[in-house]
Amino acid sequence: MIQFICLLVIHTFLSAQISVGGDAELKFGESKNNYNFSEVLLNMNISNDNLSTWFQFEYSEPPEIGININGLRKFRIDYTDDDMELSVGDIYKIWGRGLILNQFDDQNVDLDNGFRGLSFGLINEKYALNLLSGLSNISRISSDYWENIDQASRKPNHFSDHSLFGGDLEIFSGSFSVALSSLQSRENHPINNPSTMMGDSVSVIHRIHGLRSRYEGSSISGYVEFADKITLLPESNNTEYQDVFRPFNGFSVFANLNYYLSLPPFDGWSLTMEYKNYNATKINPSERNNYVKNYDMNLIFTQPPTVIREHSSVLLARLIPQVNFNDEVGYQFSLVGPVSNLGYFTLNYQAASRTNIWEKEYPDSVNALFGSKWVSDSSITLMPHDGLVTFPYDELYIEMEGYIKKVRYQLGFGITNQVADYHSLYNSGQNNVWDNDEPFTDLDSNGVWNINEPYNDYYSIINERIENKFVEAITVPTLLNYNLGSGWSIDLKYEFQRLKAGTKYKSTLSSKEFFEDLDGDGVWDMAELFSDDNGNGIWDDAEDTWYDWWLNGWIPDDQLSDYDINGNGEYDPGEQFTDLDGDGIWDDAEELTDLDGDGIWDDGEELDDLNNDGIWTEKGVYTDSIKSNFYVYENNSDQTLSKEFQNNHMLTLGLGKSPHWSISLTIESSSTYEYGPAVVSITNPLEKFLGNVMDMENKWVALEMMININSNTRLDLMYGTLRGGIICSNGICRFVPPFDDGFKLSLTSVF
Amino acid sequence: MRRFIIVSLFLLSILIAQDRVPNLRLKMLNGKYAKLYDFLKDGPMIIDFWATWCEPCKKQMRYLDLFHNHFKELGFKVLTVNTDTPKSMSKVKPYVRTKGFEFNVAVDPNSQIKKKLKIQQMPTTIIVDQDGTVVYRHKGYVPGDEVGILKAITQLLDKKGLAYTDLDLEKVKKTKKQESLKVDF
Repeated sequence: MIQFICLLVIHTFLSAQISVGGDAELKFGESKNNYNFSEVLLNMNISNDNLSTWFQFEYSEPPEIGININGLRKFRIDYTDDDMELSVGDIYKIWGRGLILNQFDDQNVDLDNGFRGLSFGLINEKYALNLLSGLSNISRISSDYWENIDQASRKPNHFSDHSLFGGDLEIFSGSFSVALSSLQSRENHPINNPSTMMGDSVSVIHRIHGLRSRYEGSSISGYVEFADKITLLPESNNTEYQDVFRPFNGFSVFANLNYYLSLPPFDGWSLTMEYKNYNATKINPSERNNYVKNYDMNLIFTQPPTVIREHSSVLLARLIPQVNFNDEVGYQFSLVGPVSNLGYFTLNYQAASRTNIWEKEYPDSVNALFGSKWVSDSSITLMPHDGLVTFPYDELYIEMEGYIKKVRYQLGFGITNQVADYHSLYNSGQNNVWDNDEPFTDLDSNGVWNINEPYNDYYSIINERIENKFVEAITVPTLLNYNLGSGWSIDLKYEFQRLKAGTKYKSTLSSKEFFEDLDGDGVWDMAELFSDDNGNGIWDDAEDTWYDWWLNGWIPDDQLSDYDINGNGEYDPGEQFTDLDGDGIWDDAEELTDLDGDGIWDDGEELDDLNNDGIWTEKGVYTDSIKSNFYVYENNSDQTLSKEFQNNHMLTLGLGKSPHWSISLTIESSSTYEYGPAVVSITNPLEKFLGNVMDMENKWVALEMMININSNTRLDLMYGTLRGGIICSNGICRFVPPFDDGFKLSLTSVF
Repeated sequence: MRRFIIVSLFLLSILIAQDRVPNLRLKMLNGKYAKLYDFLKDGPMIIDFWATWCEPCKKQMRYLDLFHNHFKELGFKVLTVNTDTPKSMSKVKPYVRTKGFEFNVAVDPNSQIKKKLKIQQMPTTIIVDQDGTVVYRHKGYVPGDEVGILKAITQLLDKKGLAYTDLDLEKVKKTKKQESLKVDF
């Protein structure tokens, strides 16, 4: 390799006109909550008229996200003449809108789906041909893969190898073009072995064939792309996996239509419509993002349009859902146009859901907790569903932006509705009574069941609980920018969001609730409910076990077997639990429903309260309830009070002097806390200073500064605290932990 | 020794080389292909990188359109390179048409042109002389930066001895009607 680089440099010297340059980026961050990173990226380019080279070096310890690299990270040599293109090295290609191939290196989410190999192209006015071949190693972070999980989620643990081969031919004819594509990948896919419960790998062949076409007219333009995906397991091996998992072969469709209006009063307006129908595989709601087990998902090289608006508003961008490129149907339309001299109006509406409706089926002879399974039909859905099991999402966004004298303004309004997660849970039990359809041992051979004859007490499905996590929000982003003249300008950005988020529970009883009739009056009497596990007659504090976590929806159904080791559906010593008193052992405990709210157990009749409404309930009764994600502390005490809404505010004040520098202060505040791991925040000097003029409770403050050192070098500095959250890029989302009382520096330079 | 020779060659090459843009192949907004130097046949040019979700980029674009229209008689062109990924690519052409921009638009959905022209932030504006040499580079946009860009353009035109009329930046229109649209992107 070094000899080759040497020869290349010599070649460029011998060439008539060479250009050598590069750019460097230095990123450094240090925070009190140990979100530290140090990263240097150096790009070197050498080129003449036809030949160009690119080398990228990285020195990181550790990087902001990803694995440590010290040395050459990427390289490529490109040769281009009038009709031909030849590239060797690390290659990134995109065909059409990416339904088959869309490669990029996105450092924000640490996704690099390029390949190292060769690409050959012929391009002229009539056609464009691209052939490629090479190897790719994709690294990703997955909690579904059991090996080398990094709790901080900053290092990948799932590495798949791909051997790629493919071609794309696009033919141009006037305003039309049509293209054919084909891509094959032989993948070595890391997977959890279902027998040994250890990391393993499976050989898979993926083939995607596609067709696309576009039309560019003066008043209308359109685009349509279709891709057909096949996943194969070679018969020679993988028999173990063929038995437990059958790959699904599916398709993806994307279409876009733009219409440009030219008649008054809509002269200059445009209407954009986009449609997606991604049916690459069928995955139940519990496993929809588990690409480790479901190796028949679309290739990672498939990165089609999300058909979701990209927001520049921070609060709106946090509500962008993770798009599932394997199973999603949706549309978006956008109307944009000038309104007199006031500016430009935008109306955008988008909706999406999974492609299929799923239901849970359960047998009646085994515990439904483990015996239930997801089922779905194979119909093709053309439009998004609104059923909760399909994770429906929609957003309406309206915006007006323009200039009033020297003030640039932007005023937006967004309404967002989303079901972010869905669980369907079952409690089942045996009623300890012989029922007509239950088999028994007829000891006296009289043909009927008699008391004391043994029988098979089937499980009865007695309670179904549906939980769905929901998000509903109204967001108002605003922006004002005033040009003071002589290079000075001020920025004022304010965003408001009223957010409602939580879990909705819906219970359905298919049998009467069982109660112990202590006074023999035949009816259940109001009482406190508890199970006196240690028989001491009083209620004791309890430590959470995996069973409580599952009831709260924190453990998906398909992962129950990881927690309930002996599969009896109950917590047993040795299984995972929350060790409240830190004594290393699980302490016996009782569950208490404190009906009268006095904090202690009262005498009463024992009731198996399946739907958690506190009273005995007949079968078929539905009880719905909602648990909010938000709470506040009551009267400055440790007592928490649930809140239905969270109000978020984000204010940014900026001052700039062109072309030298700009400075901005961002203050974000929230009216409530969120249930989950508590983050202990450290008050920094900036917050102390602002604490003199405002209450700093539940606020995040950051001061950012940009300095253009010269036309080629720019320095960005940040000091303060940033709120954590989900960031999404290219359809992939990751959780970014809060950056607490820290310092970030980014120096970028071009030479 | 081998490492020393290689490092020396690199350093020497940096010393003697110019900051010159390569003759890259570009995909235009209408789906056709073009070479970067095609835009340099008649005169110097501005290359600007932007995206529909980049607010500073959008603030700057009306000035770029003004530069394109004012200096085009001298062979000066503005080429903007849009970096929207397939996520938002459908909205690029409607945006340009609605705003009535007449400059040339290329697309770079997986940031390969951006990398080759050493673009780290958006917007980045570079002015390229007719021989491909980069004579001006500016990162980011805060109001007032358009003055510096205009100054760099006029300095280059002065150097080349090209006569031009003065440009009043206040001439930027708030909204633009579509009938002025003449360029097929």
